[in-house]
Amino acid sequence: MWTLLIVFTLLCLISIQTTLLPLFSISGITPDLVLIFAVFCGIHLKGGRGVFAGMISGFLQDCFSGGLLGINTLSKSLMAYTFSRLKEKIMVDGIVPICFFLFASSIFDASLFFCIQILLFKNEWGGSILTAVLGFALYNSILGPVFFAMLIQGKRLLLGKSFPGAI
Amino acid sequence: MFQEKGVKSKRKTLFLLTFILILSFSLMTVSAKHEKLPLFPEFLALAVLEPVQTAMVNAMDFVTDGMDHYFFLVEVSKENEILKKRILNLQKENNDLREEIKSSVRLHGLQQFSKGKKYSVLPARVIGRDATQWSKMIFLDKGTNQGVHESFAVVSPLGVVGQVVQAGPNSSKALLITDSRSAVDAIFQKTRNPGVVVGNGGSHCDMKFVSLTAEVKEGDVVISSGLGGIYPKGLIVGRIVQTIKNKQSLFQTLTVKPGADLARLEEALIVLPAS
Repeated sequence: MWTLLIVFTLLCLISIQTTLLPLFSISGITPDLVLIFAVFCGIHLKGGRGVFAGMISGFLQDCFSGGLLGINTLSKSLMAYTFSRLKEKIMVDGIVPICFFLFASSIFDASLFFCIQILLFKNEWGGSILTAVLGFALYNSILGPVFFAMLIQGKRLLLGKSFPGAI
Repeated sequence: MFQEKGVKSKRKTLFLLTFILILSFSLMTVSAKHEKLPLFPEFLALAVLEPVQTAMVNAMDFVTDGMDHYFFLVEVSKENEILKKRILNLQKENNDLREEIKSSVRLHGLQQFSKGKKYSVLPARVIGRDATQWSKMIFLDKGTNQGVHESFAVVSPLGVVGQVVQAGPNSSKALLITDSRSAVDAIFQKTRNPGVVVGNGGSHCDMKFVSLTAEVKEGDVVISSGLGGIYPKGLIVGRIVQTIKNKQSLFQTLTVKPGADLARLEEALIVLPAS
């Protein structure tokens, strides 16, 4: 059941990502809702479910992008895995930690993408890409807490009980 | 007891990480091997999301249309749109005429041949953009049912947009010329010097293999050469916005601003080969 719920949420997010979000792009930079969702799942879902949700997120994103299939699967599952392990050791609630985690995750996501592209295809990018990566990370970390709050509210409504829930 | 639990947890972690790595790299290798062919999950995803994207774009159009035409200046807005469309048509016409003059001077005897267009175009709506920040791609609302296939060129009245890389039944994915995997064989409209316009992942493209001796100025128009078999000859690719001549290098470093506004593209034309 929860797998279907995650897939449905992701399809909604990807629909927004591919249609509405480009309207809010700043200098061609748009936030990555799937990345934010993967981090959310890593933090707020129990055990292996978070990692699995991250994996589905990445896989679906791969299907809807023009890049190499598997890059986002790897990136998002590693992100979800990291946060599912870290949440027991460090504080993961609050605006500042979320902003920081999303910033770091965005940098990791972009770095992994460029490393794999360079290693596999020897593609080249312009010098402005560093600014784009920083802008991307900043945009995600600013939008992240708002999006986290919405997802938490959604989870609360769905489960009908106080958070943190038992998914 | 605790030690056993710890070992179990470590094994689980190791298994999970191994699974993630194997799955991801398998997908990547399969995808890299079948670069030109859509894989089943991508094909399925394209078919699943197309109705949702179309519905969302329709809803967005409805809202923006209402905002543009009813809430704000009703007549002025409509008139402005008509004038903008007229400007676009005139720009295209202007470019076509320039190309025609050039070709008549160079190839007078073959004028009739180059004048006759050997292709038709199919208008398509942009119903979505890439789900990631780093790939430059658009979703179009036309697919194999409308005769669209892989490697068909996608253009706009202002210039080259990209090429179809995957075609589903009623929608397709087009890789933009700004994507780092994109390359268009091009020439300068004025001097006819050749080069290759490649994407750099940003909003502009780079033009490569233009010799140091070639005279290039900012504002020079770059058009498709017709080589490569995807883009028809004479379409505007973009304008030079930056030129760097490095004496140590064999070629100039040129930055090209795409002719088409790829960030705000709402409609595009898919070039169909003459049947």
